Amino acid sequence: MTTRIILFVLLSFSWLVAQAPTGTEIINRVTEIMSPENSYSTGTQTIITSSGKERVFEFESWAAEKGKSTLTRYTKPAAIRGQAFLMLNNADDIWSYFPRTKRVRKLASHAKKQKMQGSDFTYEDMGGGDVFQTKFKSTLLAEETRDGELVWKVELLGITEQDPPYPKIILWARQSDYFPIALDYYDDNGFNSKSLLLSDIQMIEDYPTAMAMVMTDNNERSSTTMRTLEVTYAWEPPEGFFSERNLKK
Amino acid sequence: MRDRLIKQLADLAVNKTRLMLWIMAGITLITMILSGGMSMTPKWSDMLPEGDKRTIEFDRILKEFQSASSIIVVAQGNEADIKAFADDLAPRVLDSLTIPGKDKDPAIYVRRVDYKADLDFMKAHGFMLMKEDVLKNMKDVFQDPGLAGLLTNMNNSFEKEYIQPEESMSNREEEDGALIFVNGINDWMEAVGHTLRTGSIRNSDAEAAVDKLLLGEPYFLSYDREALIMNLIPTFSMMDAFLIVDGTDAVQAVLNDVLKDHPNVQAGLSGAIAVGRDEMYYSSQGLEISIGLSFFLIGALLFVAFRMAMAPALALLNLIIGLIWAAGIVAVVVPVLNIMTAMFMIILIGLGIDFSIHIISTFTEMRAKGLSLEAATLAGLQKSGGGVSTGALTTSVAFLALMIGDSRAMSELGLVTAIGLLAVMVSSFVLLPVFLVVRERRYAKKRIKKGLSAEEAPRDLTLKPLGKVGLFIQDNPWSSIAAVFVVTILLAFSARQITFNHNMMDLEAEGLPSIMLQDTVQEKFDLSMDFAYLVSESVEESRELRKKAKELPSVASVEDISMFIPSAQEQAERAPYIEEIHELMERAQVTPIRPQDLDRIRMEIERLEMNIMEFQSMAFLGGQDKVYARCTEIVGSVENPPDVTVFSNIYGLFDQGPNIVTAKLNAFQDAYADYFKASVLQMANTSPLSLDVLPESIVDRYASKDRSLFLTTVLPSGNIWQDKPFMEQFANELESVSERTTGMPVIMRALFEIIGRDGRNAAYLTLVLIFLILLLDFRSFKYALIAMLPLATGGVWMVGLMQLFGLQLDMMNVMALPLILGIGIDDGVHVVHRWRIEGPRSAQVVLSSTGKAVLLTSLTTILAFGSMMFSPFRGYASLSYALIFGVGACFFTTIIILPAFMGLLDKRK
Repeated sequence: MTTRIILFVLLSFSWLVAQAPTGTEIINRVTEIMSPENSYSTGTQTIITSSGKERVFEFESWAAEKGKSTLTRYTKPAAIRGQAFLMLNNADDIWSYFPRTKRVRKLASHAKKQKMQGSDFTYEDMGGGDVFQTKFKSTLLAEETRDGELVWKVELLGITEQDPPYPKIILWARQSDYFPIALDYYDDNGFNSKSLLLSDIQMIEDYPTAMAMVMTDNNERSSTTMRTLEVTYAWEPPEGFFSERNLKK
Repeated sequence: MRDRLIKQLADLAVNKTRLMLWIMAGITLITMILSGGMSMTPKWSDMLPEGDKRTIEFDRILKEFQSASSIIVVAQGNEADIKAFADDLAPRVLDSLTIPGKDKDPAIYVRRVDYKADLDFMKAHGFMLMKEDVLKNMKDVFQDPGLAGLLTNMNNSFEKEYIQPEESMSNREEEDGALIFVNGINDWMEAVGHTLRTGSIRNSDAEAAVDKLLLGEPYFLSYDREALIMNLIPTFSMMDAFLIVDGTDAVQAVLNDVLKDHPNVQAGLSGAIAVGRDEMYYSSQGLEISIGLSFFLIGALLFVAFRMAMAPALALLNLIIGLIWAAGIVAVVVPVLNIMTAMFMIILIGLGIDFSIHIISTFTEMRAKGLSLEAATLAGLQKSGGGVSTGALTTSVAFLALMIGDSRAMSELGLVTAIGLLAVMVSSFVLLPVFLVVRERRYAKKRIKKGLSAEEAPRDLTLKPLGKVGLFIQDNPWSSIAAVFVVTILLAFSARQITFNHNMMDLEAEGLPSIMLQDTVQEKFDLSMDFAYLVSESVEESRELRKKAKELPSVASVEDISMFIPSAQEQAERAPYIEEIHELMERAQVTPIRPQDLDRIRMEIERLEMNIMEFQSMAFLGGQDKVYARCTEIVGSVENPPDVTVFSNIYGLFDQGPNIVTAKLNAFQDAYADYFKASVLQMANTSPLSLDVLPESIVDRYASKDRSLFLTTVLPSGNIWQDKPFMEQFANELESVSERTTGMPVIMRALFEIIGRDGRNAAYLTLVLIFLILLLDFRSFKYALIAMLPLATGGVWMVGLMQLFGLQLDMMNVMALPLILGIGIDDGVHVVHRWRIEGPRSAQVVLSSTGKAVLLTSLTTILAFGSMMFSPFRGYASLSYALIFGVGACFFTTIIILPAFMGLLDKRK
């Protein structure tokens, strides 16, 4: 009898241990590992222009407050060297600096929902923070294998009152470290309008980091590749770094 | 029954020669008259099923809407030259025109020319056509017509616009809007610069600068301003096959004439009608070349093969008469040929000549063996008649099987070719023996005159080497079968890798002027001429369709009548802003510029330059190449700072001294300000816009003749020809908006689907029917199967070889697949027939005699189809290659496989 009770307790315990986390728990962890407090990186962004040519930009980017504040400065090509974008409050406020005219201009507040610099990313896609936690309700849909990895498939449904960037997102996060490897974005008509694939995931200073991101617009059948060349999470923002004044430097 | 008929025909040919000739002449005359009623249509839509909703809708559009059938003039050169050329050409094409090289009275072929925006209408209602948010943003521009105030207000507006950059430049239409804005500012600044340099400006130039600032460029110019489009609305439509050629030629003649006065301009015709004309011209020309060439080559081949001049002459004469009979009957059954059915004559030449070859071959062989004229005629028909009639029947059935398809391309081609083939077969049985008898009698008379014997000494006309090949294979059946098996497996692998080329432009004639200009339009205007059309029954319905279509990802832009008639709600929302603009402008006073205003004016000009630089920078990041390129022309770029720009010129001219600059700027202000004010007041008109208010030139473009239907034109955002998934996406998305969607992209997508399905079904049916006919003919399952084996193997070889030689399947050559079933079976039929007549182990005899005829017929078919290789219409050339591979493959499989079976089966006996 005693043996049976011990076995029952052990089995119950193991069942409890093996039970999958909830969608909310997964998204909390995803947000946590995707939002290091601060970061500095360099990278490239490849877009296709309106006449079908490929154009590659190189940039430096700084982020703080888990991605709520970011500053991106383009370094190549010469046509836009020095042009910079400052995004505060999860891209609610966006400023741009033009080195040729030495002027700073504020973009309209609705610009965050629009395509960023000819890419398939919106300003909002690039804004970090706790958007998944605050603007979506998450539900675990399934455990499955994707690209040879065990993943959780989570559905994020937008909370209308919170003005979510998309009505629905399906996210696949690795079970091993909660890092998302794919996201499908849905539009108001329920169409999978965009898909983001994260690859070449490397562990950098304790944070899994996707060195390549490809956003595909399934409507326009176009895609944008963002490649990280260098990244550190040990960067500390100096006082007033994310300011209009610093944007001009 | 067949034998009895053959005996009667031989008897008639020998004993009633003259009567037969008269009867045949009568039939030929009647069918020749009938064939005059045949015509051709250049529309691809005419290949779809007759009741197809897309075809019906397309035809309805062509009938109801004048603008759906247009001739596009594309002029290239510098901006001033092409505008002058367009101004000269426009009135000239509206006159009565003559058709070069034709004795016809001059006639009016062009109803209207659209090459400029209707500025009067735009001036009367310009603001009502602007969106509410644009009015909201721009209303401040119109409160002060004075130069300093206007510059300040333009900058304010520019910066307001600037802070919504992604909205302004998110798609093609918005990018075009940004370009109009930038171009207007550039022209305005050039007018300022001109006045500062010369001290004066003509009122007309100042007014033109105002118009461009307020309304944009009136001419339909390309993005680089080096090309211009004129839209000529003809008095006829795409439905009028004859007028397409005459009308286009008449317009081309005028264009050539006008070009003489504009040596720096290059211009040509494009658009649906010009392309249709070119397609008809070049495909007809291609067919004429092919027919002439095939007759010549086949004649030469037969001359060499039969070693006498009369045999090819008689074979060709018989063929020509057979073709006339065929054309006469076809003209009654299918009076209008499409691009596909138009080539039935070439198929008939390639296949019809075979009947003559078999009959002449056996007849001359019999005569050479010393048989009398009567006996040789009978023996010739008996020995070849079975093969010829069965071959003709199987081929005709194969063509008739195409009729199970829905597409007119296939079903009509099947019908006309089957009818034609039977007509040529009949002439070969009825007429050819008569010709041969006449020829033999004349020949005998000549020999007697020369004192020779009437009968020629016996000769051997068989092809010995082919007989030896047959004997070798018969003696080594297994090694031959093994070799065929290995080759077939390898080619089957190759065949599986063949791909389909969906680009219809690859089937057009290379260098076709109208098609090349389509590419120019695509490149310079970023404009596809492959529109889709939607029809609605009211302006409101049209507005809804436009709204839905604009939201589709595959759509670049949409044009319809509702662009000129905003909804009642939109008009009501716009009215307060328009009234405000009117009020502001009415109150506005233009004060003379004072020297102390110069700093402000210069600062505002510098601010304007900076706004354009920032706009340029955002355009570069946003991948908006056209805006970036235009801004770079105006303000230069960081990488290549310009020596001179319109702005740097102006800054330099400010150094002339304050009094001079002030006087000159006042001259500019005096020239434009009153006109600007009057124009804005005119545009600030809140009177409602409705169909009744629109000018004819706009209504005609979008409404049917009785104004009961409205046309929405949808332009794709990609290239429908080079990207088939895109073509499908575009067609599917539009069909989700309206079931009655039509136009080239939708029609071609349907055509691909239907022809693919029809071809597959026809091929299956053909195989079954051919087998049944062979079963009836041979009354033996075994022989029917053996006769089909070379065809089955040859089909695999054909596709495998096409792939190996780098060919792709396409819309034209895919027809070769069902066709080859009907054509390729003949070789096997003839050889098996002769084998059964000659008895066991007869491969040597069969191949040296019938094999020679099969070789000849294969070569003539190859020559006939091969002649299409020289057609400028690449679709015919593509079909030609496929059929050459098919016919060649079937010949080789026949002479290898059948002797092997003769060896195997006869050994058992």
